[in-house]
Amino acid sequence: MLSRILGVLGRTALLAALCAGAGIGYNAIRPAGGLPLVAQAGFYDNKVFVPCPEVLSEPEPLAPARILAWSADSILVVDARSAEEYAAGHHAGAVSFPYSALFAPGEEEIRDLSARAQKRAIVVCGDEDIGSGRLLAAELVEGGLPTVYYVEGGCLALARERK
Amino acid sequence: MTGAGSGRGSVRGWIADGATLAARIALSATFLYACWFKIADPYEFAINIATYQILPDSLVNVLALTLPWLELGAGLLVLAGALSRESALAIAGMLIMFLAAILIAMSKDLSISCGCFASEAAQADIGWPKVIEDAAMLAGAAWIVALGGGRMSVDALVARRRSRRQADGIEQAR
Repeated sequence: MLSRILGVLGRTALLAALCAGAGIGYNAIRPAGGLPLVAQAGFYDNKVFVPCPEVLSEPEPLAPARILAWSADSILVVDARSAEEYAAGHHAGAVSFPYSALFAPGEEEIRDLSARAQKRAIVVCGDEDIGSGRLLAAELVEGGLPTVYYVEGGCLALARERK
Repeated sequence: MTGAGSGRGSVRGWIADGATLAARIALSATFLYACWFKIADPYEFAINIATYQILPDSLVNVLALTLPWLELGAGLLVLAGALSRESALAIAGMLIMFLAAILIAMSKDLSISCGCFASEAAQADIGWPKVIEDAAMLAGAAWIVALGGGRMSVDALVARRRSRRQADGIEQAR
């Protein structure tokens, strides 16, 4: 009985070792580049955790279909995603305005945006997962811009609707 | 390795075999589904492990790279019923580890998702429902460790062939 239990334990340990070896081996040849076995930097070293910003002004959400129904010269689309995401693809004519929960847009930035919009309505699209479109739109409303909307579903929903 | 089939032909034997097969399918489906995104995106899984704040950072990546492959190997073996006891024991070990991690995180009042599955919809926050779910799976794994893979398993097939060969050998010796 004991030898049988030891046999099962031994084979289980061998199975675990083989699977672990397969995982580390696959990581070494992974086409996209593997993960270092030991993290180069701590998981929390470069991250600053902040509470989600409080939304004081509630801008109006708009469905992507409604936005596309408007003439292009009546709106200015503002892309709140990161510069990299914007560079990877964006709505035609959209201006990049990366939103960060740490740094609220300053008065000068809002004035510049207002000057670029002239009399057009501002429609903010962002990353739906973090709600950056809604948050930036709220900041712009608070900053005094009169007609600001945000896209329901974010920039990706707008791009999907356009197809 | 065919303990679940010990009551061969009896109703109890068939019920035990059915329960074993159900446990094998449920465990393998869960673990094979769970390992997929972890193998595809080990960095994301490493962050999930790190959010539990249990392991030192130096061990997080090693676990993120090896654990999903054990889930894959054990999941495939338990599905086939090959090395049933060993693969179920590996699964039981992983479940005990997950349960301990969840309970420690709960004791620290961490509000985090379990990091168990790929899609956002399948991600559940850690809490008592997750503990009960893992405990139920642990009971299933313990059942297989105790009784083996049952009649509908590769282990049973191998055992049947071996005993037939032995019987043939005895017959020839006579």
